[in-house]
Amino acid sequence: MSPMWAHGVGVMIVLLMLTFIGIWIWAWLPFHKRDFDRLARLPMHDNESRAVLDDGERR
Amino acid sequence: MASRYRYIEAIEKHAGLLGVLIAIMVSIGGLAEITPLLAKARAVEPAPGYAPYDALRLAGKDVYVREGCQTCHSQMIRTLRFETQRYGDYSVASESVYDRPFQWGSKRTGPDLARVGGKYSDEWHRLHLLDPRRVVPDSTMPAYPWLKDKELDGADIQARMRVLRRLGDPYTDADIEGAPAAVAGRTELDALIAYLQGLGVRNASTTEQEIAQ
Amino acid sequence: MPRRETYNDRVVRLFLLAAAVWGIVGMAIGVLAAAQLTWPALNFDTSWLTFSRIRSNHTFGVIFAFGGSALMGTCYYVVQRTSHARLAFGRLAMFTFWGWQAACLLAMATMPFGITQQKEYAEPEWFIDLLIAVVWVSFGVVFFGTLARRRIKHIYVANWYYGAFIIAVGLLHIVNNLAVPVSLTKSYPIYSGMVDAMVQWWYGHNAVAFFLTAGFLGMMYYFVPRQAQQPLWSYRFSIVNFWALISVYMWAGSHHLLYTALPDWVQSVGMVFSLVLLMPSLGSAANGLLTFNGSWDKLETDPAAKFMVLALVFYAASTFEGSMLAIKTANSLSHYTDWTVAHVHSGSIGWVAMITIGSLYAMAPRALDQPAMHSRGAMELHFWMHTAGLLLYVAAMWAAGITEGLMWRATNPDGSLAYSFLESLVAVKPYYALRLLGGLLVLGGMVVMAWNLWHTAAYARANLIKPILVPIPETIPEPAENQFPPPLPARG
Repeated sequence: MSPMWAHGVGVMIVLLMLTFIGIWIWAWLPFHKRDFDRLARLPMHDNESRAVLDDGERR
Repeated sequence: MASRYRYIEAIEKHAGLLGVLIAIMVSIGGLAEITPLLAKARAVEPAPGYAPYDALRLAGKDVYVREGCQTCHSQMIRTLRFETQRYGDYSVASESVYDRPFQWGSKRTGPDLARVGGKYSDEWHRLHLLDPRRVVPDSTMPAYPWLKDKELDGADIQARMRVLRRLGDPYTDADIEGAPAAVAGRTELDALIAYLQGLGVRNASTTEQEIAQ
Repeated sequence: MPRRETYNDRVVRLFLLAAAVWGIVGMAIGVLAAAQLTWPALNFDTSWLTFSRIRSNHTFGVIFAFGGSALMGTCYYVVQRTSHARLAFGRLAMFTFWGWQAACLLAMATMPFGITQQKEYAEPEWFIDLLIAVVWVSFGVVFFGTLARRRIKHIYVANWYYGAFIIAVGLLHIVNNLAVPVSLTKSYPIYSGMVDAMVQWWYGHNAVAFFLTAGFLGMMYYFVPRQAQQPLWSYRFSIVNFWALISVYMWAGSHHLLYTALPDWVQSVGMVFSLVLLMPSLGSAANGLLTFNGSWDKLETDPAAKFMVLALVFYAASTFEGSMLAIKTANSLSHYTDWTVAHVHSGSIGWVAMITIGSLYAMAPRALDQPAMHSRGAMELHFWMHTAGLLLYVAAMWAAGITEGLMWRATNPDGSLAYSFLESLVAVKPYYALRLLGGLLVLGGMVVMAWNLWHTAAYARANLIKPILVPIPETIPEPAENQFPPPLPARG
């Protein structure tokens, strides 16, 4: 590996780690809590929306 | 109820942004590992003595690929003592520089073949490929009897050599012109045996006489 | 007049059917291949039935035909439900179904006849690769088009995984399959030797990462909370795991080439990132399992939940195993042996197949307009056949792999090798027979599932299905003038 490339890889790893910590902080911001709690329940609503079309509209 | 649903006008931007970020993140790793190898492969001249496969062996290699031999046989002697003790010197990158696709394998249900050339006679290979259990009773290798029935097509080999030349393999006009003569009357079995006998001995082309021996 | 919109479940049902059929086909070929390794006579000296030719039919059939159909079907189901919108571009979605089936059929019909690139997990020749690329781009257009017309502001995390799966697999497929054709039936890759090896395992490893992991995690993140009837344990943790997983996985491919002629630094990078990968992998598994906290009683009553829980356990176990096998010392023993086969199958039969089966059992009644699957007893039977088969298979291959690894490196006191290669092959033959039995059990379970699905679909076959309404609020702001894709026409 050429030295230039080695430095590049090193810098990139540091940047990726900083991004990672940044994402972690972002995800834990209290600001998002309400949205996230609602989203976490989203799959549970699959059954609740079981609406049926009017008669005569069968495919 | 209504507050739970918000129809966002510029949502595509967010979905698009998500897509772009994903594309960036998944590209970084591959770029970091593959680009320097490509650069290196461009910079390094093929070592002397490493000529591309001659017509017959090229046909043999393509039979090897077609039949899926690498499913059970690797061609990569790792840098481990018990490997070199069993199979010979460890493999180096320049040995596989003409292998498209590479043949390092991922599973050994049968032994490694990187240096199998010259270890057995042509006749042994012939018997073994046609009926493995005749020479190795405990073998689980399938038989490949159909290889002896199919003759090689010179024009087809020429077409293959031309494509390989376009990809950078140093075939000369003479190599390509001589291909039909080199494979005339030979079967796929002959080609495969010639390929196997060349493995690890030298990557270079060989003369008709050598193969005939 | 109220706006009416229904979910497009027709294409979902077709993919469901395709997944059931391909699952049986792919696994049946696997059983034949396993039998051939025990009794070579079963190759019948017929070229297109020979082990080395049909092995790729098993892997392609199970990964791309079965897994791919299940992924695309569930993806269409999930993206509609989590966006509260009908699938965009209905005709294009239909094209992705027929196009994918055509590509799978073509691949399965050409590979046994030697029309193959022989790049592991990317065997189909160039003309099939082109078709796959077209279908894949269409799949992406339908998926992102649906996201673009969603009525829920946030993109649910399952869709992140499906999105990463689509983008990354498209990228991998195109880069790895770059080749120059000689004729219709033969092409040469543009890479050779060491570079080809690195590109191939960058592809091979990340096909596992994005096809067999990210895609199925998308499935998991929707169907596990739904089946547990519990909110996702930690939504924000899933975000962190997502970005960590997709960025780290791409670096780890070179761990398939340890101790080879690949430059040392690339090997080391692959090993280190494989260890880092433990965190997001175990994090995702934990997030799924903890979602069941508080509803573990479901395991007594719901076989689909059982499949999902065991899938997550095997996901955690096989990713842990994978990271351990990426350590050079462990790899020197395991590589080239049946331990690799054990690892792959604990991931595929354990994680991939079980999360798929669990999700299919969760999704099928809903997509087929039934309150539940036809037979719960058959689901139970399937669960136990699958689990027994899985354990038998993986245990047999572990034993075989460790036997081979130890025999290959064993030396006599004077330093010479203790065993010939053939002795190691003879030693593992009994394990190969056990593996065949395990495979048969898994295949049998799939047949039970197909029977169950067929009966659950009786209503659908009689065309009695009522389309499910998209929940749309009474008042919707008028969409912007130049919206693309155009707003859906109102129904009713």
